[in-house]
This record gives sequence, C-alpha cells and structure tokens, in this order.
Amino acid sequence: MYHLGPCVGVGLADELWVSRYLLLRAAEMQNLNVTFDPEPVPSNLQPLSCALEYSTFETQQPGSGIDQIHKHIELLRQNHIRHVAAYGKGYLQRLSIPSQVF
Amino acid sequence: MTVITDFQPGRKLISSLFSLLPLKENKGVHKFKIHIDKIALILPLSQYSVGDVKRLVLMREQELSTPLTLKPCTFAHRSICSTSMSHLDCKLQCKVITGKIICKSSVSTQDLLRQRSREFSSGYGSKLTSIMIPHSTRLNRCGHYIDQRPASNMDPYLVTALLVSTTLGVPLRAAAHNGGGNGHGSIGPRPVEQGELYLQSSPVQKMCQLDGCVSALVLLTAHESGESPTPLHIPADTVE
Repeated sequence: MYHLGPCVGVGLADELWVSRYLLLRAAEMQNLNVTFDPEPVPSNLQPLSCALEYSTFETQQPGSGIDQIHKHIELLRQNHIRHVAAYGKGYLQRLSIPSQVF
Repeated sequence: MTVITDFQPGRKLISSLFSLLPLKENKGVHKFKIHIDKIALILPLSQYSVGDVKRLVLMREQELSTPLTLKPCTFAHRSICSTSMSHLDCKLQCKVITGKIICKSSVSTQDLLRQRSREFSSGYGSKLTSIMIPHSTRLNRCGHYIDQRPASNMDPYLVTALLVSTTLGVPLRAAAHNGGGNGHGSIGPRPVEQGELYLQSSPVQKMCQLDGCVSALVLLTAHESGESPTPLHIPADTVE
C-alpha cells in the first residue's frame, strides 16, 4: 500500500501511472510479476481498492465545508450507477457476486 | 441512561461509540449526558491500528470530565495491544461500561469484509462504505472526503474526471454537445470549449454518447468480457 499526492487535477492520474510503471520496473528486476487485478485469487478477503481522497475549494472552507461535502455526497448518490459502470472490472465483479457468498 | 445495542463494525463502531459522547461542535448543548467510568474496546486490529484507536480516544479525552484509560482488559479474548489478528476468525466485540450498564456486541468480520458498497452508502470513518468522511473532517467541519469505490485496476483519468464532473456540475465533453439530450451524439474530435472537461478516455466517450446509465453498464460489461461492443451507427454529420 502506498500513498500519492496531494496533487492538483489531472496530475494525480499521471503520478499514479508513473508509480505503476516504477512498480513494474522494480518487479522486473527481481523477476517478479505484478498484477493490478483487484482479486487475482478468489478469496474471502476484500478486493483491492484504490481509495481516492478528494476535496475542493468549497469543502476546505471552515464552517461551511461539511455542508458542501454532504451536497457532494448527495450528487454522488444520484450518479452512483454511472460511476460504478466506469470504475472498472473489479467493481463489476464485486457487484455480480451473489449475496449467498458473503 | 442509554443502552447501546447495535454496533457497527470497525471504525464505525468507534464513531458510534463516540457519538454518545458530547461533541465539540455542540458547544454547551450536550445531547447525551453519560458519565463514563470506563471504556473497553476490543477490536479486530488487523485493519485498524492501535494508533488510530488511541488517537481517537485521546482526541475526545479533553472534552470529557473523567479521564479515559486505554489498556488491555481482563475479560477480553484478545487485548487491544494485539496488532495482527486473522481476518477470518476474529470476532468483533465491544463492551461499554457506563455505570452499571454493560453492552455487548459480537459480529464476525468474515461476513462484513466484502460488503463494501454494493449499494451507495456514506459514513464517518467507516471503511465499509462507498464514501468515507474522516474524523478529522468531522471535527474541523471542513476538509476532504474519500471515495473508496474504485478498484485497484482503475483508470485514474476516468475516475477523477467523473468525480469532478459529478460534484462540480462540469459537463463532460460529448454530453455537452448533445444539447437536447436525445442521446445521438457525434463521434470524432471536436474543439474543446471553455468550461468543459477534455477527455481522451474511450469509455467516457462511449458513455457520453449513450442515453442512459444502464445501457452504459451493459456496453462496458460486454467490452470487458472480450466481446466487441455494439457499434453505434451514428452518421458523422448529424450535428449541424
């Protein structure tokens, strides 16, 4: 597990790809393979995630920031399925698991 | 007197416990008045380090009249000092002794490990929800929040662009050209207007050209499973 940032805007995505490249290069020198699959082996553990810390100018304002965060969360709640569709294969795997498995 | 019966796992347990204590933001208006003699927490500390627990306790200690002690307790299976516990067999227990009331809760973590965010949820300091608001944000009433939904193989450009587009109301590039929202866009490079997000990622362009969210989900699933997605028969010069 490692942390990146804080970055501004699209710089975070660049940093993430550079860190993935460095990880692949370092593993190549040790004759290792790297997979970014959230669940390479089926197991009971939680699939690997990539949490994203996010803040804007409004949420950083003292006093009114928490209200802005709640507004953001309400927007995210309405657009949940749109995000899920874009968030990659691992999330779709997680969605497709029947509830008896849990 | 308050009896705590339903505990949530992990950090949510701590936050639900601390929600009973007088908060700093309440400033004189104490919704709950409990004189706490002793708090004993027994947590699966594989995910939640001892330092987190101690910090959370110490943050609240100044606001309480009685000092809190954090030490291994005798009635626990495992003391709070153990840092490496198995994911599968550990049980979550909490006992809160407020005067004469003893509350217990026991949840197997195996049932809870993969529960995260099949539906949307948000919470303070919980690792099992879609959106987590950290405790520092709650106390300062400003700061950041954490989107815990993306998997480890995410496309960072796509995820960050969608997050900004949703929260700040910035239209995506192809969606802005749809205008009436009839779902018939145009494929191909276009000049970027001011105030739009410029996206090169192909899934975003596909999603923007579709009508609803569900069809985007179907298209992306077919694409991920190796089949070719349904071609969009859209003439190049439909838009003006």
